[in-house]
Amino acid sequence: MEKLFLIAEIAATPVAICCDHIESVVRVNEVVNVPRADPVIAGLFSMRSRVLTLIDCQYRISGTQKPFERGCPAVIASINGHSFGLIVDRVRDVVSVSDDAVLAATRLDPKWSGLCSRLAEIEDHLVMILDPEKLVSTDQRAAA
Amino acid sequence: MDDLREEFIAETRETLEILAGQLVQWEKDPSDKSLIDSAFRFVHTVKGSCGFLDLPRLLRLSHAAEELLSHARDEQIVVSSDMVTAVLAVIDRISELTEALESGEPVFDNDATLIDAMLAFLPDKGTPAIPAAAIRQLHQDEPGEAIDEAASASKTRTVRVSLTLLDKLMNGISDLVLARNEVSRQLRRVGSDNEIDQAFGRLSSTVAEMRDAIGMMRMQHIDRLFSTLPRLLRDICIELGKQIELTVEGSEVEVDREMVEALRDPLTHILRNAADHGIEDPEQRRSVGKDPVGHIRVVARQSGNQILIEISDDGRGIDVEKLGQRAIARKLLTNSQWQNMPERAKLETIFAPGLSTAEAVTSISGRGVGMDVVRTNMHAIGGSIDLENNEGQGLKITLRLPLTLSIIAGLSLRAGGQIYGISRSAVVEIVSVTNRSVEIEEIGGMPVAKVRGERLAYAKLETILGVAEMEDSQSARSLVIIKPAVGATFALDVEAVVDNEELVVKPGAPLIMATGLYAGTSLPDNGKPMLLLDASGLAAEIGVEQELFEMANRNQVTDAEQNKQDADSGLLFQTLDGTVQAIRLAVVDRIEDVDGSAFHQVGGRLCVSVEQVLYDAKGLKTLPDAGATVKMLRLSDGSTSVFLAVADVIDIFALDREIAPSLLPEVYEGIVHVDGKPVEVLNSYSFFEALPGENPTGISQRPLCFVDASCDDGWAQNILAPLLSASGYEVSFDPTDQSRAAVVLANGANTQKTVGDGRVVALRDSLQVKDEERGSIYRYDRLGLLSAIESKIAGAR
Repeated sequence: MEKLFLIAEIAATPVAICCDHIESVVRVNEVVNVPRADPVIAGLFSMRSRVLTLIDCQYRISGTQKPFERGCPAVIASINGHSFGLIVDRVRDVVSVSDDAVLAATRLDPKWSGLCSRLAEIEDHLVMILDPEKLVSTDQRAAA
Repeated sequence: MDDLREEFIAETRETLEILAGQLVQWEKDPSDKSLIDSAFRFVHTVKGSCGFLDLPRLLRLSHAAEELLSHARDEQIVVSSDMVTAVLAVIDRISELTEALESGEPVFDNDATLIDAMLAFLPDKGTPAIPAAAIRQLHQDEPGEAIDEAASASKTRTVRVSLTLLDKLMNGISDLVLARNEVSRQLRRVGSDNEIDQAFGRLSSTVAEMRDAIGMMRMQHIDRLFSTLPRLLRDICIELGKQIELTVEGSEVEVDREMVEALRDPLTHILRNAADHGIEDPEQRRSVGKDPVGHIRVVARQSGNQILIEISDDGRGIDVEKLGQRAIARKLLTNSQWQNMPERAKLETIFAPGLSTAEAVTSISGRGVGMDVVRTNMHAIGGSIDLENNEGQGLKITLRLPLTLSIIAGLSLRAGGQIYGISRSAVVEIVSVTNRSVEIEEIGGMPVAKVRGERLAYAKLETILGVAEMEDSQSARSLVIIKPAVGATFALDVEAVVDNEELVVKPGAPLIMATGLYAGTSLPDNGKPMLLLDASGLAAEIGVEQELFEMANRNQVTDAEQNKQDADSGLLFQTLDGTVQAIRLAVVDRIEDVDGSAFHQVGGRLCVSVEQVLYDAKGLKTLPDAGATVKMLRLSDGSTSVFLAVADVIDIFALDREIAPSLLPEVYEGIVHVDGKPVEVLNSYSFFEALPGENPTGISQRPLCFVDASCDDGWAQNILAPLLSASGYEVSFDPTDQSRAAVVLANGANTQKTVGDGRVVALRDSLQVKDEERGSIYRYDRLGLLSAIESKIAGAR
C-alpha cells in the first residue's frame, strides 16, 4: 500500500505529514489571540465560515513562541473532529510512500520524540512522520 | 450487515417512541383494536428483522409477544391491565436489548420469566418455550404484507441524514451569508444600477430563506419528548396506587434536537414530583372535594424566541411553611432568615439541594434530589424555571428555554483591543464605571465593586486574560454584572460593550477549552473569529472567597457556610452621637427602620415594640419623636433579641486582623484598624448579659412551685407568685399539687410540718435569723430565694 505524505519544514527540519489528515494548505493573514491558552496556540483564524485554531508547531520543538507573520503557510488538518491550521516554515512536496518504507523511530532527539514515532524513507533520506494528534493533545502541555 | 443492524436499531427506537404513548391508551381502552394492531405490528416487525439479523433473544421475546397479541386481536382473550403490564415488560426488554446492541453492554437474561408471565394469559396456559426450529419456520410462514402496508401508510416519509452533513450545510449557508455581505459591501463601493440591485435583492432573500430552512432541519417536534410521558406516568401511578390523567398539548412545537435531550431529565423529575407528592391519594382528594382522579397538564408553546413548557397539577401544591421547617431542621436556614424572606424566596427554597416536603422517601421521589438538579440543568442550557404555587390547589412550573442551543443571544465586549462574546442570559446588567452608583474599592487587598450599595466581586477582564490594557480606554469603561450558572454574581470591568448579536456557537479545540475560561468560539458577520467567554469559568477564576461579600449583603443565603464567614466579619456603623464603631456581623440579625412611636420608656429602660414584642433598645439616650424613623440593628444571640440604634450603617469588613485590647472590656471587645482608622468593636456579650432569658411563656415544661399559702395569703399571692412566674416557674396554691411539685415554699410555723422533705425551701419574715429558722431564707432576698429554688430543682434531678 502506498500512502501520500506532505513534506513540510518545521523548525528548519523536514517532516512528513500523512495526507489523510490534511485538507489543504493556506496562507493565514489574520489571527485572533487566545489569551491564557497553551503557548502552542498561535490564535484563531477563519476560513470559509469556519473557525480554526492555529498551531505554532515549532514551539513544541524550540520552546519559544514565534511572533505571528502575516501570510505564513499553514497546513489545514482535521484532528479528532476539530480543524487546525499547523504553521510550517514552508511546504516542499507531496510524495507517495509505500508501507514498507515506514519504520519505527528509535533514538530520536527528545524534542521530537514526543511528536513523532515513525520514520519514512524517502529518496534515501529518513524523514520523521509527524503525528498531528500529539501536537494538539492536552497531555502534551504537561510534557512540554 | 452492520448497516442493516444500525438501520434496525434506529427504526426500532423510533417505533418504540411512538408506541409508548399508544400502549398506555390501549390499557385505558383495551377494546381499541387499532392500538392492539400497533403493538402487534411493532413486535411483528422486530421479529421479522431480528430473525434475519440472527438475534435469538429478541426473536424469542418478540415471537412470544406476537403470539399473545394475535390472540388479543382475534378476541380470543380479553385484554386486562395485567396483561398490558406483562406485554409492556417484554417491550421494555426489547428496547433494552436494542440499546445494548449499540452500546455492547450486557442485559440480564431472565427473558424466560417475562415470556412465561405473558404467556400465562393465553387460553391454553403455559405454552412451553418454542423450539428454535419452530420459530424460524413460523417467521418464514408469517403473512406480513397486509400489516406492513398499513404501517407504512401512516408514516410521513423521511430520510435519515447524518449530523455531520447537517453541520456542513449549516457551515455552507453561513459562508453564503458572509459572501453576500461582502458582495453587498463591494456593490455599495462601486455604485450599482437598478438591475444589479434587483438581482442582488433576490439573491439575498433566497439566502435568508435557505438559512431559515436549514436552521429548521436541526429542529424536532417536542413530541419526541412528550410521547414518553404517558408511559412514565402510568408506571408511577401503578406504583403509588393513584389515578392521574395526563393532558399533553403543543406536541407540534419544535425545538433544537439537542434541547430535547437536555430537557428529558428535568421534565421527568418534575412529572415524578407532581405525581408523587403533588397529587394526593384518591381518598384525600375526595375528602377535600376534588375529583379523585388527579390531573397533570403539560403544555408547550413558542413565545418569541423562547419556548415555554408549563407543567401544572391540581394537587396540594407546596406547603411553604412545612418547607421552611424542613429547611430550618436541615440547617439550611436559620429561623429568623426564614421569617424575613419574601414569599417568593421562601417558595424557591424548594430548589435548595437536599430538601423535600415529601413525608417519606419513595422509590419515585422524596429524596430531595430533583428540584435542584432541575434548576441546574435548566441553567446549563440557558433556561430558567418559575413556580406558581396555589397551596392546596396545585402547582404550576414554567420552564423557559432559548429556541436553540447553537445560536445564542450574545453580547460582544472589548478588552485589550480584542472582541469577546458572552451569552446574554448570564448578564444581569451593564453599568458605566463613571456612574455615580458605582464605586470600586479595595477591601483586604481584594477589589470590590459596590453597585447601588451591593458589593460584588470585581475583576478587569484584561487582568483575568492576562492581556495589556489599551491606554486610552480608562475613561469610558463599563461594568458588566454577570450571574453565572455556577458561582456568585460578579462585576466584570471591560474596555467597552460593543454590540448585541446572535452568535452561532462553535466548539473550541480541547487546547482552548482546557483554559476553563471559554465556552467556545463564534464567527460574527464581520468574519473575524471571536472567543466566547464562559461565565462560570470567569467566576471560578476570580475566586470563590469573594462570595463572602455577596453573602453578607443578602439575608436569604441558604448556605450554612455563611455563619462561619459572618463570624469573621464586622459591621461598621455610625452611632447616634457620630462616632464610628463596629460590631460582629454574626450577632446582627437584620437592619430595621423603626418608627419613633414604637419606643417606650418601660421599667426605667428604653424599649422598642416590634410586632407586639417588647425589646430592649440600646444606643438611645432619650425617646425619639413619634414621627421620626430610627435605624435599628436587630442583634440576636439565637434566642433573645436586642435593638441597637445607629445613625447609619457604613460597611462590612473582614475581622481577620489583630484586635487590640480595649480599656473598657465590658463595653468594647477591642480595637481594630479599618481603612487606617482605629475603630472600637462592641462587646456583643454585654448586650445580652443583663437581659432576662427567653420569654418564660415560651417554656412548655415549667417546674412547679407549690406555695404553702396558709401562712400569709396576701404576700404569697401578690408578691411571691408573680416573682416565681416571671422567673419561669409554675405556681400553685392547691394542696393537691404538693406531691408533684418540684419545690415547696413554706414559711414560719409550716416549716415544721415538712421537715425532712428535701424539696422544701423555708422562708422567714424578718432579716434576723432565729434559732428554729436556721437554713431559711429572708423573704425579700430575691437572689437568695431564686438560687435556693434553682439548687433544689437541680438537686432533685
